[in-house]
Amino acid sequence: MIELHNVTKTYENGVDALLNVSLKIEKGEFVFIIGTSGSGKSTLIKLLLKEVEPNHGEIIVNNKNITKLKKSKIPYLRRGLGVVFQDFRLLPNKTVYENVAFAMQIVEASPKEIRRNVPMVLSMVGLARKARAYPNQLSGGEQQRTALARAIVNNPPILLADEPTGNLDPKTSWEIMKVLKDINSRGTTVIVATHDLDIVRKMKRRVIELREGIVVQDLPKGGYSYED
Amino acid sequence: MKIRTMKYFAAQGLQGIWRNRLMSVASIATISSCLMIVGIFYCIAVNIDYMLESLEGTAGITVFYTKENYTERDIEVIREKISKISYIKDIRYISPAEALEAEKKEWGEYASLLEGLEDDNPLPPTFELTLEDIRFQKDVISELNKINGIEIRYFEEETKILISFNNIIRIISLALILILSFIGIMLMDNTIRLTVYVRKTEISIMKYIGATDWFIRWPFIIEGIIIGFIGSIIPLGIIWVSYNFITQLIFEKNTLLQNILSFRTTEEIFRVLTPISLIIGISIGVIGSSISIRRYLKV
Ligand SMILES: Nc1ncnc2c1ncn2[C@@H]1O[C@H](COP(=O)(O)OP(=O)(O)OP(=O)(O)O)[C@@H](O)[C@H]1O
Ligand SMILES: [Mg+2]
Repeated sequence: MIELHNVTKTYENGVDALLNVSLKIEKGEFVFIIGTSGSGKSTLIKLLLKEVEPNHGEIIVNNKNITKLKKSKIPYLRRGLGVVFQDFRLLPNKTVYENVAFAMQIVEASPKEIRRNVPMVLSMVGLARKARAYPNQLSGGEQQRTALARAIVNNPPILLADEPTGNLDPKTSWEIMKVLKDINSRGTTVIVATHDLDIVRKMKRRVIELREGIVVQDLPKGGYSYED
Repeated sequence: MKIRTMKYFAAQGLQGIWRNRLMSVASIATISSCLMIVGIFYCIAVNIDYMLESLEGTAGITVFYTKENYTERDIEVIREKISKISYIKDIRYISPAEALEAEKKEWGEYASLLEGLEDDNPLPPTFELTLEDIRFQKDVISELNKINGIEIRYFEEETKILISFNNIIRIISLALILILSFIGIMLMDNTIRLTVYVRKTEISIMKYIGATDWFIRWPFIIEGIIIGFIGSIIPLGIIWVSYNFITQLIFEKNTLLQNILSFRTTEEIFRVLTPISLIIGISIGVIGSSISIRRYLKV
C-alpha cells in the first residue's frame, strides 16, 4: 500500500529530515511512527502527500509510484489520503460542520450524502454539539477532532494522523484512538505519528521509530511493549 | 461539473467582489471607460463609413465621351472597356438626348431656352460609374485614364478627406483599445490578487485536502466574468441613451445637417457593439483574474 525506497529529504537549509529511509506498509495495517521532536515524522507524512519532494528515492502510495506524479494528478493522490495535520489546517471562516462538509464539496459529493455523512463523523469524534462553532471558538483538542472528522469523512483508503492526540487529555486521547481503531478495523490503513509512548504501548501495534531522519527500529505488532 | 458546484463557485465569486468592493468598483470603472471609448469611436467610424457609402452614390465618377463623330458601336466599345475595370459596381449610360431631357427639367421654366438643341446636341454621351467602395477611386481613375477619347470628372478632395479622417479614427480607436485593455487587465489583476491574498491560507488548505486547481480557480474567474460583464453593460447603456438622444436632436432640430449627415440606427449600431463590448469586457476580467491566481496555485 505504501512503500518508501531509500528516500532522502534534505531541506533547503541543509537539514537532513529523512536519510535513506526504506519501509513498507501493507493494506489494513495500523502503524505508529515515533521519535523525538525533529526526528522527521511530519516530513514523512508530507512526502506521502507530495507537500514536499524527496531528493532521492522512490515513494509508492496506493500502488502508484508518486515520485514523478504529474502536478495535475496531485489532488487525486490527496483525495486517497485522509490527513490530520499537526497544525490542523482548518478553514477559519467556516464552522466545524462546514469545514467537514467542505472536504465533501471538493469531491462533488451530493448534498444528501453531505447531510448524512457529516453529522455521523462529527458524533464519531464527539463533536456533534460543536457543529456550529468556528475554529477560533474551539479548544486545541476540539480543533484536532474536527481535523480528524474531516480526514475520515470521505472514507479514504489511507489515514495519516500527525500527532492526533497532541493536545488531548488521556481520556479524550483514548476516545480518538478508539475512533482510529474503528476506522482501521473497517479496512483503512492508519498511520499515526506521535510522541505519546503510553498510547503506543497500550495499543500494541507496529511501531517505526525515527531518530534524526533514520529508521532505527521497526517493530511488528505488539513488539514495542516488550522492548520497553 | 455539477450544478451545485457551479452555484458554490458563483457564490464564492460574488463574495469576492463584495469583500473588495473598492477594487471591484475600480476595475469596473476602468473596463467601463475603456469600453466607453471603444463605443464612441465605433459609433463615429461606422457613421463615417455610412456617409462614405452614401457619398458613393452622388460622388461616383462621371465619364464623358469626347470624340465628335461617333457611332453606337464606339459607345459600346467604351462601355466594354470600362466594364473590364474592377471595383466598379454599376455603369449607367446617359445618351445626349437623355442628358438634355434632364437638363431641361433642371432649368424648369427656363427650359425653353434649350429648345432647338435636339438636332445639334452639344452634350456628350456620358457614363455614370458607381464604385464598390470609394477607397478604390484612385485605382479606377488610373485605369480610366488609359482609355482614349474620354474625359473624367470626380470629387477627389472630399473623398480623400473623408477617407483619411476615417483612417485616423480607426488608428486612434485601436490604440486606445489596446492601451485601455492593458490598464484594465492590470487593475483586474490587482483586484483579484487582493481576493486571492485574503484567501491564501484557504487556498493552500483546499489544495492539501485534494481540491483541483480548477476548483480553486473557478470562483476567481467568475469574479472576473461578473466584473467584466458589469463593466461592459454600463457604457453600453450610456451610449444607447446618448446615441438616441444625439441622432434625434440632429434629425429634429437641424434640417440643414440632416441633408449632409446620415446616421446608422441605434439598433444597427448595437447589433455589433454589444457583442464586441461584452467580449472585450469579459476577456479583460478573465485574463486579469487568471494572471493573479496563477501565482498562488503552486502549493
Ligand atoms: N520547511 C522546512 N524547512 C527547513 N527545515 C525543516 C522544514 N520542516 C522541517 N524541517 C526540519 O526537518 C527536521 C524534521 O522535521 P519534522 O517536522 O519532520 O519533525 P517531526 O518529527 O515531525 O517533529 P515534531 O515531533 O516536533 O513534530 C527538523 O530538524 C526540522 O527543523
Ligand atoms: Mg511533526
